[in-house]
Amino acid sequence: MEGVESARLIYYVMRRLLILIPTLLGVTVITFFLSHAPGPGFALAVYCSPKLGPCTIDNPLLKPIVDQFHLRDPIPIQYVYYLSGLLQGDWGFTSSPVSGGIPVTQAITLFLPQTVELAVASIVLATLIGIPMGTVSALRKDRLSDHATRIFALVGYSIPFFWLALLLQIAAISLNPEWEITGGYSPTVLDPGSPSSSWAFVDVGGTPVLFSQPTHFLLLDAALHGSGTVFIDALKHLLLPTITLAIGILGVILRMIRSGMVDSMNQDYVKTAWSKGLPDWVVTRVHIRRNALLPAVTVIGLLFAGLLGGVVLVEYVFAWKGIGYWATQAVLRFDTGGVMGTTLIFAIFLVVINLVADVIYAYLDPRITL
Amino acid sequence: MGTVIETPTKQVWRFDTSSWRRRIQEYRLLLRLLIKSPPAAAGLIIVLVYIGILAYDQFFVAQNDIMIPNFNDTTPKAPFWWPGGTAAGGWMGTTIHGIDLGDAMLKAIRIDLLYSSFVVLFGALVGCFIGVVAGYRGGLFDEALMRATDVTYSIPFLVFVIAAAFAAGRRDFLTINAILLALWWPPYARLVRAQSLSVKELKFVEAARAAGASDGRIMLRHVLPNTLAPVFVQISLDLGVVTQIFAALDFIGFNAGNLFLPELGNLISAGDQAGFRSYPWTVFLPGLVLLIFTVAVNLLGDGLRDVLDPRARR
Repeated sequence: MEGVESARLIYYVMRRLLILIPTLLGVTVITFFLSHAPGPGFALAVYCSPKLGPCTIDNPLLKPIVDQFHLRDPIPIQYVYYLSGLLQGDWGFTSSPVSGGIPVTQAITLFLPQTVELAVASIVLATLIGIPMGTVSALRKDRLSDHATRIFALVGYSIPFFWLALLLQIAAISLNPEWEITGGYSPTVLDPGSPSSSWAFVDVGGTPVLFSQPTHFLLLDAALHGSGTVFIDALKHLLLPTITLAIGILGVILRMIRSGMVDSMNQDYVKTAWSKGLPDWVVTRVHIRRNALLPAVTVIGLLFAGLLGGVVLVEYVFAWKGIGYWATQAVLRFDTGGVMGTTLIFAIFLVVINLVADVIYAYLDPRITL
Repeated sequence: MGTVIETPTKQVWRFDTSSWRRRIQEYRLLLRLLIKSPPAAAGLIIVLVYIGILAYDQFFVAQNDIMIPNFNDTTPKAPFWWPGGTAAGGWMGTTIHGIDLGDAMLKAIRIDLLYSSFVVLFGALVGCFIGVVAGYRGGLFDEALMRATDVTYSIPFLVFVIAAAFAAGRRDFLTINAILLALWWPPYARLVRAQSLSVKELKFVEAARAAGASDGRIMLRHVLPNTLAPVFVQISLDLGVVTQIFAALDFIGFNAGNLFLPELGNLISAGDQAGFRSYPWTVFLPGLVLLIFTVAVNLLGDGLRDVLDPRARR
């Protein structure tokens, strides 16, 4: 029986992975369209300068660039070149994160860990606070604490991320004027040739410390180096962005848990559990809450879409060097490779998270037809 | 050929007052149910106040498209009720470039509400038609639509808009508007499609088909009106979302070359530039106006959902 179950789960995952292929192809069509639809001048613009003459594909001085990007070919052929480049790990160059430019794939290894760190930290924080609060709210339905929690949830998911981020900065500064809030991590590439040798300047108490980065997760790296000051400094910087994002997600998780629990409280099996004389905590945890957790799992997948949008804003406000920060910088600096790379990596991130959420849901709920 | 003058279509598209009257009665009932719940009523009242401000700006405020600077007096002044504020600050204080914050926020409410409701209503309209055709007809169009919306759903919306603005090569308010207008229909199409899949199997649709109604008539008169309940809820919730998207994009620099556009995100960004650590009200007040609107719209949306879908009542 166990073997049959796991075989079905594997089959389900495989099928979902196959469905991903057309979706991701569609995403590449969009990123390609974004960079190539406005015409060849768009791809050329980065390389143009008044000294080289007119910025057109007929300019002989720009011929190497035109040849390299196949700008004379028809659009569908260009798309095939683009796609095969993507599959071979050639995502182009980005000029916004490091002056002079580095390959997009290398920039991803620098920036993605920061975003993952932030997203995971805020999801974990929101879940850790949201589930108990939702439980209390449902159990004390229509009492004062329930109303307070619901208002908190409502304000939480209504609040503009960037505004909350600014307010938290004001609050933190009024608490402790010394607190260094923004930044905290700046990836530095000493040898652009090899992605493994990237370093970071970490701001510890005002003095930048050069720090090698085997994993690019600052907390992890600090732990690997056994550096307590860097670890605490990284935690301090992580705190405010995490709280900002967590408050936004918290509202949705709270609502899901509360409404799910209120629903299942009136079910017959709960009445049976009460009448059997089971202790309170068994009924609330095992009979009521476990069923409310299921929809919450799928919602977390959907939440990630909103969360990643919020990440862009929060990273911008806190100058947190993640994918979102890179994306806004790329747009403001007309960096085509950066915009395409960040859009694609955001899409892959989101699609994978949704897949994981669906698989967990299917695993938890035996009624799902796998 | 001359005999085909008396076509029955003339009768089919006659304006049917009795059905409209019934529908208006239904909406009146919904409204009565809605204002019975205190949060929904509060949300409705706040939204009406904002709409009132919009109307006031539209008809009674001169130069309502621009914030008027006062370069002689550029240090932001606190409102009189703020700790340390003076009477010179007025009701809402001033922000960077000596702009009166109260005046600017009134104008900003008009701009934000006007443009976001335009985006949402246009998206709902387009999405409803696409969705009802996809759901009712099915087939290749439906499949293509679902895959296309899958793709748009797999890119975080804010990132999508940023990238599209980049491709458009412009970063001003109207470009953002155009992009949102073009991208806002997929949720509505999916919503209406899902609804019409179940509605088209109902008896009255079968009856209409038996009576010889055309596909177009069945879709517009029988299927579409019965799929609209969740659309209203979605419209209400989306108003808040779009307003926030405008503000957020404006804040991160998608308002190039229009520093004096009265827009809440622009005001927050201006407060940020003015130095919000010294002048916190320049950030706090415009954000509060935005927050109150979003909360009200969410309350209204939740109330509408409870009224329109009694099963979801908690």
